[in-house]
Amino acid sequence: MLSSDSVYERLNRIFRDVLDDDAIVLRAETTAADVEGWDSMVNVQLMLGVEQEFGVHLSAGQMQALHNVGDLVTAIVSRAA
Amino acid sequence: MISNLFESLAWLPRPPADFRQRLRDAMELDAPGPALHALATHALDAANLRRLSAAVAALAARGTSLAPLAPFRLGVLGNGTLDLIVPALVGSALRHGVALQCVTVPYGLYPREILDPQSAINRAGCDAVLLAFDARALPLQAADASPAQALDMIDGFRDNLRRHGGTTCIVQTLAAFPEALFGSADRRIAAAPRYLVDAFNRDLVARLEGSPDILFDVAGLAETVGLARWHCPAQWNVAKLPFADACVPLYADHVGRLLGAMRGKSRRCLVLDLDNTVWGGVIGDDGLEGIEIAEGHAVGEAFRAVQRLALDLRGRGIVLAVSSKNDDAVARRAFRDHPEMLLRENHLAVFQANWNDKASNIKAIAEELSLGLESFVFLDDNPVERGIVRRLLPEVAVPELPDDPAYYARTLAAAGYFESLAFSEEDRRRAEFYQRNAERVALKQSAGDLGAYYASLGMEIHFAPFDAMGRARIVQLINKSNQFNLTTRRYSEAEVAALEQDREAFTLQVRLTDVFGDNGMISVVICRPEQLHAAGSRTWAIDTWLMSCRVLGRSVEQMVLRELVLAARRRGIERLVGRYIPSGRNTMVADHYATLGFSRDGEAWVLDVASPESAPTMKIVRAPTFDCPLETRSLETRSLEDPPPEDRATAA
Repeated sequence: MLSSDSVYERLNRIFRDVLDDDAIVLRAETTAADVEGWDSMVNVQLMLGVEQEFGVHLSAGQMQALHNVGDLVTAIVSRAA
Repeated sequence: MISNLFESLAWLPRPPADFRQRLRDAMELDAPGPALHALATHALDAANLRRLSAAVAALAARGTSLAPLAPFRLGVLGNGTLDLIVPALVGSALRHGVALQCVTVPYGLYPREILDPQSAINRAGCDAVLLAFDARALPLQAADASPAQALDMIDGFRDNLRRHGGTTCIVQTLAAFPEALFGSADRRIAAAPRYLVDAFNRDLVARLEGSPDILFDVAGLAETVGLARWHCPAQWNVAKLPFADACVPLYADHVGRLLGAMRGKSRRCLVLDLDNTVWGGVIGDDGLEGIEIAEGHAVGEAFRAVQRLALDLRGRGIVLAVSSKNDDAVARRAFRDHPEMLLRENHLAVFQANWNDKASNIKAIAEELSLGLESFVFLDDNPVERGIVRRLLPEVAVPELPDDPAYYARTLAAAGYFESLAFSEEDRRRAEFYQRNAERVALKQSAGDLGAYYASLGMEIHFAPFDAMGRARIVQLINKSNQFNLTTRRYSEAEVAALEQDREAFTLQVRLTDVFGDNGMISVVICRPEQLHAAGSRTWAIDTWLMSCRVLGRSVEQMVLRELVLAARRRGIERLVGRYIPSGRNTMVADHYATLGFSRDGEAWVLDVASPESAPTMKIVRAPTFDCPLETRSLETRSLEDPPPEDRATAA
């Protein structure tokens, strides 16, 4: 079982890598509006990064249901278990 | 790694951990071209390719020249999302000697861009336009679809781009989708998707005949990867990615190869190592009969595949040469006398078998053939040799090789070093033009500082006395080593076991590890009390000293001698006596003792152990059971700055 702390740590790394911004620190309530440069194309790259890092696949429907980073972490933890 | 050899770009070394810092450093250089090329020559993921692409754009904005990389302006048109692909193209083109600038158009606007003479793409002065269309863009979906209609559409694009933009097109074959309709009959039934794609690809090749436009065989690439891995329906649906993101670095590398070929950057000469690259085993130790190269033999066939690929490459104009750490006559015997060898001396332009470093040898080969170093590929199973050449001759392409030789040929072919746009009669004859019949060329100068390279390897030398655990390997080395073997004395397993208990003898088994891993046992030494010397003189005769040629040139001999000297002092021994017994196969160590500072004494070589020992050039690790009374810790590891206690004692 993944701890959500370690998921945040790995997500930070993915986000920093894709957005090339080492200052990013994700919280549960973080949304695309809070992070500069997080547009639809970046979102695709983030999701690809998540799939690769955690070995999970999120369907389009599951992706649409995510409202913030907290939802994403929950989705990762429940699938990667 | 083997299962995704292609997508992982397994022939390229993994990027350094400080890739981003190195990129920042490169951007501060006045001439960053070579540094960017070196950085690009790693197996880079999308993020690092994007960083390289951003660097190229920033340097272009500053007006910094990227020479010697060839500038290239490429239009990119396609029916899918190209945002992930374009940065990868720029980053990958650097690897192939091309400083790429891409011209793109907004998603979905390609038909207008092609047809309008005043469009951005037609006015950009592109050197080429990549038509990155897949089957979804073409009328190949409907039941009444025809390949001719789809091909007419592509022809129309090509005509317009040539007429309005004056540009060459790079046209893709289509990757079939894995979803079958009828089953096997999809290849036969004209309405089946697979049939349509096959027909399109076949006729596309025919239509490109006589045209300056260039074929990019995406179908072949996708089949190599596997169509189910190539096409990702989820990524198409979510982001209109025309193929799976995992395949982007590979796709981009293939585009880079074509651009490099258009700019004359393809490589022309393959330099081969011999032992464990072209045949299995070490010919100097295993002998002509001992190397593995036979057809019908699992190990031998792996190496035959390398030879066959080399021969096929020669047939299409690639010059072949050899650079091997070997005795020249011994190595040539395999080419002359081994019945199973496919490669013969007359296939090789230059034949360098000597004990010098490979970078200097490759440099000499390049000068002899009047080919630039950027034309060379160097194939070697030994990661240390690969590292030397990469470091001292960064222009030379040096593929990584997997552990299993069965994949050597595939890895070399997958790297695509010899990408060619066409094949002419001249190509066919080129290898003969360069033929020097396995000439041996003189080394003019050393290629660079090997000491700094070896220092970067993080070498650790492990010393232990003979023990039951090492016995089998010790016996094997004693009975097999021919080249770096001072006396070639052979001992049975029982005799070696007896030495473990012999309190008069001093034995060493030596291992070497480095950043590439454990080289295993690489040296064996046996000392016995010298019987011939005058009474009262406490002398060790070095009965046996052998070493694997694989670690030649890395100061292992000096470190072993140092260990002998320290051990001798501890036991009150005053002199070491070494002998060189010529065996016909060990000429490489004729000067061994002279080089190490021994003095001649008749037929023998003598060293006074009171003379100061050399400084350690690597980390020393001694086994717990080792004869080392001053040690207190069980497994001693020390850094170079922290000399062992007995060093201090003897220095005092």
